[in-house]
Amino acid sequence: MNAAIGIYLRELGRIGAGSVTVIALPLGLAWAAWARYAGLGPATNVDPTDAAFRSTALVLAALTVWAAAPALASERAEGTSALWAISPVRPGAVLVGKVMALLTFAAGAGALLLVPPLWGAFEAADLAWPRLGAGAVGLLELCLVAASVTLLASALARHFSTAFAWGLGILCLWVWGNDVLARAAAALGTLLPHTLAPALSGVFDPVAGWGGKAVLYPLFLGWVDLGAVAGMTAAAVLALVACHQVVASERWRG
Amino acid sequence: MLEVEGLTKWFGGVAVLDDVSFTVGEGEVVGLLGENGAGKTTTLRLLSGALYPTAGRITIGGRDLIKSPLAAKRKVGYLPEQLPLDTGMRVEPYLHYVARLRGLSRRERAEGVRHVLAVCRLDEVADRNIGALSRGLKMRVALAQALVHNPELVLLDEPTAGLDPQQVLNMRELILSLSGHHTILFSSHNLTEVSECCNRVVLLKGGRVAAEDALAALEGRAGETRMLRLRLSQAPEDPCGELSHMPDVILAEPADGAVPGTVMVTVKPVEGVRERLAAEVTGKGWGLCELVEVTESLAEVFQRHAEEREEIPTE
Repeated sequence: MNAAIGIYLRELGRIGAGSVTVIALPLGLAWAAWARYAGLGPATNVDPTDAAFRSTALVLAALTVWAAAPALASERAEGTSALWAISPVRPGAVLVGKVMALLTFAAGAGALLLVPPLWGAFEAADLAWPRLGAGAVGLLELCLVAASVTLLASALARHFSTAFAWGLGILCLWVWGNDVLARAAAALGTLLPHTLAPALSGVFDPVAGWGGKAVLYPLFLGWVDLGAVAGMTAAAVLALVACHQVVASERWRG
Repeated sequence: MLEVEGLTKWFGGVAVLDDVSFTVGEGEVVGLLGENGAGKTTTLRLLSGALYPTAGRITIGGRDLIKSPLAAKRKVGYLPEQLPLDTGMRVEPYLHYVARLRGLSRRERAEGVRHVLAVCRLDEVADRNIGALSRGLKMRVALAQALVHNPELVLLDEPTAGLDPQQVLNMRELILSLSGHHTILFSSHNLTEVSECCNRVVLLKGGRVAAEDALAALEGRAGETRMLRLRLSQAPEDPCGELSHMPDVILAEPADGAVPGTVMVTVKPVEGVRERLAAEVTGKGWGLCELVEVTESLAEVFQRHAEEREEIPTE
């Protein structure tokens, strides 16, 4: 517990002084402000059908990926991960500290980023607080998944930029994968011989359908959907278990 | 304090350590010697818990490192070869962070950090960024992290590597000041350092313990003979035979890999032996170009000692 708190505080300090806070967060805030006042108009509560809110949520997820990318890769590259191996610290404590720090950052950044899109709703006295609360939970879940998946990428990568690319790639695939896969299936179906097309469709249909059933949109919408919460939590847990295995392995310790 | 039994470590099908066994008693300062690739760093990393052994048993203060890693690790402080420093942090917060990792309570942390800052003479740089410190100060910060939880066993991997002469002296002094408070096992290439700091030496060779002995015994051996290197410009084809029969000469043999005409001569440590040998060689008209005393390193003595041991026929 003591070790997890130590890792949490240090990670929070690292994020606070890092490029994600100094460069990316102000940029995200500028984007949210632009979206609210010049581009996409005021949001009407936490609603992904509203372009301003949806873009802000995705910016927040990308910031979380940015913050998580160096969390393990840089420690390994600088040799500071050796401290965990030679101290009475379980790999689980390392991950708990890291994830909690990333969620704290996401909560703070989310609170900042949501101000511009929601300002209109405040002005119009159109803010539904329960919906806003559910939306916030959804955002945190989204950030938890982004953080967990990127932590796994960070544990596997030698450099944080690789981890960032992987984390962002997986996030994009999750959000837009449905469309991409459906289009790929359609394109390939027309290109391949007729005999192969049904087999290909058998492979792609479930995969493409997965995106549609995915857990992201209901939470984006600000509805508390238990299936969505369970699905996202499961995805995060799966990524963290895999990350734990990597961090506990001797190969990772070097 | 430390018992190592049959420690074996394989990396990719190669045995880096093979059946290594030794013990370190409480309060001892033991040097781990060996050439590059002998397995010194691997041994220390295994003892610190950073690596898992392929086979063997490590007991630290009565705790089995494999079966109870957390309890055993609390008793160990390790200064690795690659310093585990966060160059973006200041010295004092870094040490507080490490103290948390070692499971110290709030009061113990404050006490431990204050103590190591004083012991490692880091008070003046406590607020400075680690990245901005000199190599010597960084090494002291790394040593402080190894000591912050007041471990019973301290493992030091090449603690003076990369330091300038003054920093080496300071670090050596620091290590000496730790003896008596901690049991210390350290690896080094610096034999003067080993002679100055250690009570006992363990020599690793090809991943095995080649010898393990008290330093005094070895130093006694080193004083039994002296070695001279002669370079002759007009020597006969085999000067060693004649040299071997000269007064006070024990052994003469061609120097491996040296300039032709170079001979290594082992002589008795008696006064005037160099001058007498020079006179003999000059008298024979062999063209003496050089005659220097070669200080036989502790490692060489140690290695020879080990080889001699292997040659002793068993009855």
